[in-house]
Amino acid sequence: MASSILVLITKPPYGLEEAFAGLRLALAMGVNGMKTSVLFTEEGAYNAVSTQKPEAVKMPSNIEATKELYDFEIPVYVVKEDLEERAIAESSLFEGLKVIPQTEARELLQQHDVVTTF
Amino acid sequence: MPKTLTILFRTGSMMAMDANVAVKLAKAALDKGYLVHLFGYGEGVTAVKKGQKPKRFPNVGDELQEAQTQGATTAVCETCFAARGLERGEEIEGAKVGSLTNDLFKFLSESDRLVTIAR
Repeated sequence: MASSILVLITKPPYGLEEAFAGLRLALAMGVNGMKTSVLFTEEGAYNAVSTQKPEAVKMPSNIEATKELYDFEIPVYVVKEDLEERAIAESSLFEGLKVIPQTEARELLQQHDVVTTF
Repeated sequence: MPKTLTILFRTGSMMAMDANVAVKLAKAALDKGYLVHLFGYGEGVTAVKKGQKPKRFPNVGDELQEAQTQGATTAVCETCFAARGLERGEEIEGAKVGSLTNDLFKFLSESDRLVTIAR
């Protein structure tokens, strides 16, 4: 029986509902006490950028949706190589995120009972 | 003890066969003795809309009901359902308009495997 879940966010923050939907799913699992982790990878790395202005497109803030996870001690990771490929500097990320190399991301996959991708 | 599979599907009833594939997978798993939960999230909620009448494509609402008859349980996200202008009572018989927090969490807690079907 699954007692842990890893939520992979592979889509950018706006233009698609996927990233926000993944963050809400993570929150719903975390509030129930399931061990939950989130990984921003591929285009999902853009969710980590601190200068997002969701009000410009009248969308909910993925930064706020991510920070809500911190209240339930849900760790949120970003793949270092995906940041580098997109020229996203670590200094431009908002607080609380954990930047990890791809090798560690692979280990995360093995450390959770189930994985879902957004 | 039978194994349990949860299928999380996030594509709608039309324009893609994802929801049909989700139901087909559910039926195959049921045939192999699995307990099966289906959860519709995002556009996936439209698969449980009652009264679908596709002229040239498989009716995923009917297919879902068949899977339920075989033992599958189905729930969808209420927030996503309401966001699309759908109201309780518009879902096919046997499907539950529920939530991530209650229903998906329960499904996953009972599951050995999770399959996500999305684009």
